[in-house]
Amino acid sequence: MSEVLKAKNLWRRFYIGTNIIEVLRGSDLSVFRGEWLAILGRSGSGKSTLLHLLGGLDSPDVGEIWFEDQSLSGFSELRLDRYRNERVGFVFQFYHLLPELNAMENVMLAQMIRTSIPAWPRGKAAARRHAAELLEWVGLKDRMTHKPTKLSGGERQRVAIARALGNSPDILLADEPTGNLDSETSAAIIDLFRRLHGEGQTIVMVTHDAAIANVADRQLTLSAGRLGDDGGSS
Amino acid sequence: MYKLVLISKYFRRKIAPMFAALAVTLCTMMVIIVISVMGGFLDLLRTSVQRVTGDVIVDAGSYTGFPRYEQLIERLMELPEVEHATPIVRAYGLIQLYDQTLTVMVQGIRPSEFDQVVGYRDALYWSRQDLIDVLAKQPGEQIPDELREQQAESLMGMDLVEWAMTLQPPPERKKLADLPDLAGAVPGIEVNPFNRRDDLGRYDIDGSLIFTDVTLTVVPVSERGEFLSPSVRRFAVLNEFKSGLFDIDANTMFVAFDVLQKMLSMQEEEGQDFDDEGNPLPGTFMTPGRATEVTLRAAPGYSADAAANAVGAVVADFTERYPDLPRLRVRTWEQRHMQLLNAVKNEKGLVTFLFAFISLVAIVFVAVTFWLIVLSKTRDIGVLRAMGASRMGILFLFVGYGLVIGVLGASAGLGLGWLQVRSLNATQAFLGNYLGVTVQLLGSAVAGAILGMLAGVLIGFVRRSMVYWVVRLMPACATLLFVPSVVAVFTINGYWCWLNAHIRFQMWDPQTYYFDRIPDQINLVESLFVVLGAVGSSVLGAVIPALMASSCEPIESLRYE
Repeated sequence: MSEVLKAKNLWRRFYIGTNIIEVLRGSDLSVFRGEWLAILGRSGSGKSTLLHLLGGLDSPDVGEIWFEDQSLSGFSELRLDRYRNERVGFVFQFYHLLPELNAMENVMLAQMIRTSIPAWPRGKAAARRHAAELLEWVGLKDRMTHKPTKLSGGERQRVAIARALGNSPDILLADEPTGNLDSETSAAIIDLFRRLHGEGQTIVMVTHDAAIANVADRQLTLSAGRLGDDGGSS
Repeated sequence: MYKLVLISKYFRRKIAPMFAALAVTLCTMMVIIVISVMGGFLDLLRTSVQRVTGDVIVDAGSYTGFPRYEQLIERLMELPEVEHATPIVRAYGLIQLYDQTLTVMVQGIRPSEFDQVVGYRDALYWSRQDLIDVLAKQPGEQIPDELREQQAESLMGMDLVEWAMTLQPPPERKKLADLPDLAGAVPGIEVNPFNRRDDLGRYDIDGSLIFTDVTLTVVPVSERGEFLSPSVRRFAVLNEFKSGLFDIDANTMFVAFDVLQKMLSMQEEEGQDFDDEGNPLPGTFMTPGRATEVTLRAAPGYSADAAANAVGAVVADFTERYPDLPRLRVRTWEQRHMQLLNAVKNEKGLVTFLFAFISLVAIVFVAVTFWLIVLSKTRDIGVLRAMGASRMGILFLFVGYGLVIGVLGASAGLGLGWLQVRSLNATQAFLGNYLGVTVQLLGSAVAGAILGMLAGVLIGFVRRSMVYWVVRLMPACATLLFVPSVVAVFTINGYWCWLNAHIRFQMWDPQTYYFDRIPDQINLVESLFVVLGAVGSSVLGAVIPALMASSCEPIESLRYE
């Protein structure tokens, strides 16, 4: 399997007043195309920070991240925006759906960001079709026009997953995707991830729940700012 | 594309931007009303000034006047820029009116020529119809029918406008009033210190100077500027004029050109020279007549300035050719009344500036609104950034949002401002005539609603279901008080009249102000500038919060609580 994402010696510090908190202290990581990688760690261990660094939402103080052998630190801001729009899909713990948009519009968001106003009339129908397929795939065929406030937590997370897949990203970065859900709904969401993985989607998921992490191909544990190998399950 | 979608969604879903748009609407409306009313005054003033002043005036700047004015008019009429020209004699004079002695600027005019140059006929205030109306208003039992018929018949020959157009009293006047045949005069409507105006600002013909005689005294001035013996003559007032400009209407009286010229010893005369010993020399010579100014109307398609330029060249050539002419000056009507027009123009500019400055509140309002919106949308901004939206995209999202608020608010302001300006006089009439009855009806409704609520609260305490009874009783009590109030107001006529007489508001009293209507025309070009300013202000108000939003680091936005 080819390496799609690689991180080397990642350091990330946060300054709170006069205190310096070193969240990541020289972590290395490789993500292979098509694999499902789970990063396990306790709350505050730096899992989300690592995910944000991999997604280009944040930059490390020290270290380097490569996407398909291209260093993210060498990307201009515009290229980084494009990277987030085209190569990466985010799933957040608290869904972060835009409340003004309905389920379908939320899923179309990445496509809307990518498409200019003049090009939109030509691409709108295809974007709608694709969003409808994704919502159907996540089991929300009859919730397409519903606003997030009218959806349950599990349904919102399904919309969030469909949204993350809106631009057919190379990597899906999921930040505690079941952290806000009950066990039954969590199982359904994990099942969705499993199906996605089955279709060849690369997934990096951070979680504090070892049971959920066990479903992934490979688990890494983040502790004291460093990633440790827990061994792959498959 | 997301920017357009989100702008449209934000606008439909949020109350705050509606308030921001409302602030923009109100400010736009306010400035448009101010600019229109003040601009309307300026326009009225300009129209009034033009009504008694030609487009271009040639004068010597002296009351001794200048000769060869007929030749000058002939030359000027050859110009394509000049449509009509007429000579005028001007002098200060004293008029004896009733027991009052008043100072007036007497203008000797040739009425029909003068009418071709300015709107003289349009400025004449009284018509035959006014006389007929007075007759119709007289109580029947006081005047025998026979006499009424005679009066009506005699009035048919009294065309006050035509009298003023000749400045000669017709034989009917002499017949009617048994007065000596006098030369005619048309004073400004405000020359009469005893005139009366009604609620609508109309003058009362009973208080007018029609059929009154006035004695005019002027002091002739020789060509060398020496005072000659005062000249006194009685005139019959044939009509009054209203230009709309108080200074002119209160200080001007028109008489026939030839009459005034003669009174001022400015007419063409045969003269005789004398030798050193005072013996008359053989033969005579003619002293040319003099006018104090020649006023003219520019031909269609030529501005007053263009006509003034062409006239200036002719006058320069003319004065060079005839050394007996004094130095003549050429001015447009705007230059002549520059002080007055500029004062109002400056006033308009100042008031518009002040209101535009007050309207800066719209910028602050939009800025505060956007600040709050950005704060409430911080996490959404983070999501958008996480999904690949650029900083510029976020900036344009909020600036575009400000633009939409500005365009919608300013357009609504333009529409409402236009409606308000157009209905100012109707509003004024309503406030003056029906405010009392409106206050009565609204007051009854409010009183009913309050009583209903109080009753609801009281009964609610007993029944422990306050809200239910408030809701239940409020409309009932409101109706109970409102219905008899409506019945009372509409059935007792005296009560209605009393209310309207005692509760009224006149923002514009035509008895006080010289213009009897509030200007209600909107200047579209100026209004469009106001709209553009409002849109710009709205965008400006959105820029800082938009910059704040675009400078947010995505990760901080996502973590925002």
